Amino acid sequence: MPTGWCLLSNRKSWLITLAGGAPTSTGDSDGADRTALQAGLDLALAAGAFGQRVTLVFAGGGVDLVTHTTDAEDPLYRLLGSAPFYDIDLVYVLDGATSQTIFRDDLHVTAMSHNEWLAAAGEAHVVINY
Amino acid sequence: MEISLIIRTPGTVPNQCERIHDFIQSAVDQGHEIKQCFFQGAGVSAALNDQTLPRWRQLATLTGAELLLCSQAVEASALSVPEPFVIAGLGALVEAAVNADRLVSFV
Repeated sequence: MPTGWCLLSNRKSWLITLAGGAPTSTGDSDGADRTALQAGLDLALAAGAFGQRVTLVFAGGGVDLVTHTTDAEDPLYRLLGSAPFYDIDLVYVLDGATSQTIFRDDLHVTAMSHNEWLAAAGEAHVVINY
Repeated sequence: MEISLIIRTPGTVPNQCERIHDFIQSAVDQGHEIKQCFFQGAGVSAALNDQTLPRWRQLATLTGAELLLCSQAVEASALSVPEPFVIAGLGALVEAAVNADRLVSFV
């Protein structure tokens, strides 16, 4: 039996939070670890490709990926733009968003409070932070 | 309970590898099963250094766990892959997470 079919028959809910981890030597000036962001985004897309229900949340250094001000040619920014093709149609920003924040217009971006994140974490089968 | 691990710990974090090994040993001692350890990012090279490799081999024998190295990290670092480690893609990690009762991440 093909592996993909097995996974589809065992659909779980995932909560993946991309915050860029702790500042490292590979971090940006704002401390975001792009290696961690890339790894987390890759995993989110892979999970989506295997039929999993993925809730993708951006926080801390990851928020730049969903704001309109980010360099649109950035490879990670562009990769995130493919999320709807992996059945990730809605992404969330954990607090941090102000009324002045302009989100990218190719994704549905919604604010999420810490309490909502806790509730989502409680309901998800798989919770991973990057 | 069946447990799978994601390990992204760089070798520069003091004692972190020992903590992971202790976690695995304790889990096994308490009757849990370690199904897979998926090494990702900096965790790949940290798993293959001279200090940690013998211990991972011991743990693989003890637990029967699959030790999976992220293919992207292996390719980026041009590492050779010693047994019992095997190269795997993110699909294997998704499968590990889906099949395990718990997925524990070490960063």
